[in-house]
Amino acid sequence: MKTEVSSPSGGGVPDAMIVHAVNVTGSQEIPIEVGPSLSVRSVTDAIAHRMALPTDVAWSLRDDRSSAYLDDEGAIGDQIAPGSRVVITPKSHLGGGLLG
Amino acid sequence: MADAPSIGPEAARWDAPSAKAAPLAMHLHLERGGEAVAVEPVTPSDLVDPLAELWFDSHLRRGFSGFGLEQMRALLKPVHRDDPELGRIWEGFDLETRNPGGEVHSGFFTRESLEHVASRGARRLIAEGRLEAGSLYYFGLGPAEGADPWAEGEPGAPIEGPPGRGAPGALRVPLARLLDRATPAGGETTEGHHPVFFTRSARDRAERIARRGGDAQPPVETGGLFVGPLCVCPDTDEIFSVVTDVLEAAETEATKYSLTYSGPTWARIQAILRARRKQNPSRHHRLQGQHHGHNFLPLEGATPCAACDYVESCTRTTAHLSSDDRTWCRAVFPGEPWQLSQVFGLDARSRPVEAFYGQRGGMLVRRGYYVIDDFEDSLLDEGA
Repeated sequence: MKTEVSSPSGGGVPDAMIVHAVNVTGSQEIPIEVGPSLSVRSVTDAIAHRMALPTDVAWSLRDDRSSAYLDDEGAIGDQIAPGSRVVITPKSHLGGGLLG
Repeated sequence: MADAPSIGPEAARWDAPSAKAAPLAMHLHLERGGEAVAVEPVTPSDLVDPLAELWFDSHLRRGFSGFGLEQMRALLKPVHRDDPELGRIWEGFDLETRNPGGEVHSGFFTRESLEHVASRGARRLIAEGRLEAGSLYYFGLGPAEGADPWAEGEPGAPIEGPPGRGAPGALRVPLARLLDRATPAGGETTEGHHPVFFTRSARDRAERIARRGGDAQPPVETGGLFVGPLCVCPDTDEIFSVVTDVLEAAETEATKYSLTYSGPTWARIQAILRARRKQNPSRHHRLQGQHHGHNFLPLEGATPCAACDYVESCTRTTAHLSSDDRTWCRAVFPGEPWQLSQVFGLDARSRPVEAFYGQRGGMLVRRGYYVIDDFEDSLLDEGA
């Protein structure tokens, strides 16, 4: 996956920010540079790809400080501050439905 | 050894080169021996668990416990046989690596270890209206389109570990001290599995939590996560797991046939784990796996079979990992070859049964474990 990172400019809103992505068990953590205007959905997909997480599972991002899930459709720069830690969480469930 | 995975010195960028595509694909057929109707690529993420298992066996359990998964490099080689009717059948693949001591290790993984790739291809066919849900299909491993890792004389296709995955921290504990006081449980331990110990209180608490949902009206699934340290034996270099506690999954969305961890569920678990890692005795505590209850009867409570009175044990039980369970475990514990799973269920006569799993051959398979009365600081090696 290739996602745009805007080029440096002279001030105002930063063109790029670093976030720290961690998996739910805390065993994997990567810093990643993103454009603040990117949607959370595209950032989530790119993090999952970068961390080599399973591609047949949907993922969501949670702000590690507030525990709140980020809005997939909104821009990431509107929802977390630069340097934040986000937890990439599977949208998946346990269940024995097919055994029943 | 570090307590936490290392973070690369430079921030990754979106436009950084992605991992190379795997040269494998799953070929889906609607008829046995028929033409492939779909070719589903095997992605680098599909190979993380097999690669991690090789890392565990060739490095961590061989005295190189400080070696990170992200440093792993291996060669992927096909394993096939020629069938007179069906032609060449790809039975699986070998991964081969060399550890820092110069020893070459390899591991064989069957095509069944990539069954989820076939499922992904089937879902795609269903979405495109080319396969009916629930229909039978066949799958076989083969080269990805345009790739030929199978050519004679090829050394194999290189694959590498995912970024951000350092070495796991571990306590130094002589294995013999635990084995001397351990009681086997949960069935046979297949050769090659790493030793797993549960304190009696953790094992009993896991079952209480898992079966609690059976008392609800209507019954629901309940469960939690195993917590404890990985340990390395200073005498043998063996790595083993000790589960000292169980964290109940709270604030879940639960039904009779499903259990979903919510944001607050994960937030609470991670807060507890973070707090424990600040304490010296529990600084190496990590999530080691999951357990839950299938609190319903097999086949919707159908009458036990005619031979029920004569068989020693009932094979019709709900103590199995379901397809959803396996997907969840792949998502939550990717690249963690020490991962454990336990399902508490019922047999056809409503008797409690359990099944315990660990990773082998790239899949979660049945295995046993040991129970110990306690796990106190006096067991630690000096300097641990």
